[in-house]
Amino acid sequence: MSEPLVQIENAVKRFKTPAKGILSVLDGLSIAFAKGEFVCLLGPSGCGKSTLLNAIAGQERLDAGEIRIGGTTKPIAGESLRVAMVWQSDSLLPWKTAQANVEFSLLVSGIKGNQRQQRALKWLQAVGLQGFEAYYPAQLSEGMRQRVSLAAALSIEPDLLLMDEPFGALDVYTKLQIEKEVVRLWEAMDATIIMVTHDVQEAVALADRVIMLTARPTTVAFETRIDLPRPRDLDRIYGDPRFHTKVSELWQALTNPG
Amino acid sequence: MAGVDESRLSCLSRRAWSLAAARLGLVLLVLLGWELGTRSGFIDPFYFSTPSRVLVTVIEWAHEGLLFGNLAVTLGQATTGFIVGTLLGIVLGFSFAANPCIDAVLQPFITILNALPRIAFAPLIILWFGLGFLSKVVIVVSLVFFVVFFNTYRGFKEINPTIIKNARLLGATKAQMMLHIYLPATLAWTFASLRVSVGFAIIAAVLGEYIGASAGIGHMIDNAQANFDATGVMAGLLVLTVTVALLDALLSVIERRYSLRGSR
Ligand SMILES: Nc1ncnc2c1ncn2[C@@H]1O[C@H](COP(=O)(O)OP(=O)(O)OP(=O)(O)O)[C@@H](O)[C@H]1O
Ligand SMILES: [Mg+2]
Repeated sequence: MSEPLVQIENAVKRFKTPAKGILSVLDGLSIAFAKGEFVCLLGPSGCGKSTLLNAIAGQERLDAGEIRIGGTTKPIAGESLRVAMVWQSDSLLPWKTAQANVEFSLLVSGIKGNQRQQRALKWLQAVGLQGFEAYYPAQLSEGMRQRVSLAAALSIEPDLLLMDEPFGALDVYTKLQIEKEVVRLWEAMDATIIMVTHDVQEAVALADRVIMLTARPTTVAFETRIDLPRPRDLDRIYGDPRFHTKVSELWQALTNPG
Repeated sequence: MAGVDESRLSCLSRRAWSLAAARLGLVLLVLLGWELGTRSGFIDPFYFSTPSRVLVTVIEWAHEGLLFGNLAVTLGQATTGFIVGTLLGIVLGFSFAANPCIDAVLQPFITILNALPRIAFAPLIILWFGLGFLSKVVIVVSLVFFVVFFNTYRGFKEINPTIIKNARLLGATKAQMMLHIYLPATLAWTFASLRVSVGFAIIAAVLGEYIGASAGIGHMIDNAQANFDATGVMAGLLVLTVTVALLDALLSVIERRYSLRGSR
């Protein structure tokens, strides 16, 4: 394995509670993510998964410890290493159409003007939104808005893609279609993906490695490599016995912690 | 899809028509009761006038060339004050929200100024700025500014923080953030405040005229009142009501056009 792309060392994060106390969310958490790896994070609600992703994205300050991306703790400025994130909550601009939202991501990432429209259309199509380019977010369903965010994040062809429950609002079938698309694109473009999910099967189907986090203050409870062969065919993988062995292994760890 | 929409629309408009008819009926009923009440001696026309006399007076004003000249004066003052107040409100509301320093120092003063009963200052403003156009504009600005200021300020502060984090992560420059995030987010709120401030602008101009002026609808009402002419007062009120209602309808059409994009 090459040098890690993302290295989290002794990360500490505390929040003030409304009752003037202190809530310790991260207390000396260390994880490394290799370049080109697809990692899924699982963990109980409120354990600090979003906080961790926000910190990796440089949008939440740690109280101690550090996060190095590409060997540096400096905030990453776009060009050398592109980072994109699909946020747990809505991040679309309500006053721009679906297409204009994707084009906005491309614009601020410094993509040249003549490419933006073409790329936006291509990625909206990839997430199954052709025909909805001119819709405003208020006119789209929640799952469709998530897909616009996904298209926007993928369109800049990031080196590091952070995803916070990106498929939470999708039905099983649409989810499978989008997952297939993400896996196909990722296998083609060699990005590093860190994805938070609550779905054990999804984690096993997509990831190279699954990390299970404990409740607050969160630490790594359990991690396992998913050595199912690549390229993966998500239509078939759910019938693969090795897939089911992995899923039940993870369930075991979930239900019998420690 | 278009078919579904159209049938719903036609159903809506049919309902809108019957609603409008019901409302009109109610107004006619009240007017009729008023008219009959004065004719039969139940209501004293000296204090309450009658609908027919009010209407005749308005028509007479129009014939004598009083109506449109005075209305133009009032609307001119209201419009000028409205534009100045709105621009000031947008610029200052934006600057305050975008600069925590300015905000921290000056915000309490703005709040206090807003809490002052500015209507009570109208006589002072007339004393300082004279009986003419300028004093009315200042009164209008003093009302419109605060409505727009607070809405603009709030619009800026209510921007979804995830949008800002996402743009920053992707490397958006300050100028891009201004143009694509802060301005559109803020202006949606500003726009929502305009309908309220149009009413305020006209009330403020009329109030100024009422206190001291030589022209305008407020001045006409004041004159009529000085002559114990209830019909004249009512006629002035009627002109104002119709004007504000027309302006409001115009703005609501514009608002409906643009609200789809802002609403969430
Ligand atoms: N800005 C904040 N101020 C105070 N406490 C916060 C803040 N943000 C998060 N927290 C607290 O930190 C803890 C972790 O929050 P976080 O959003 O990271 O959880 P999560 O693991 O993403 O949960 P979920 O799976 O429900 O999304 C929670 O207990 C939450 O109350
Ligand atoms: Mg979360």
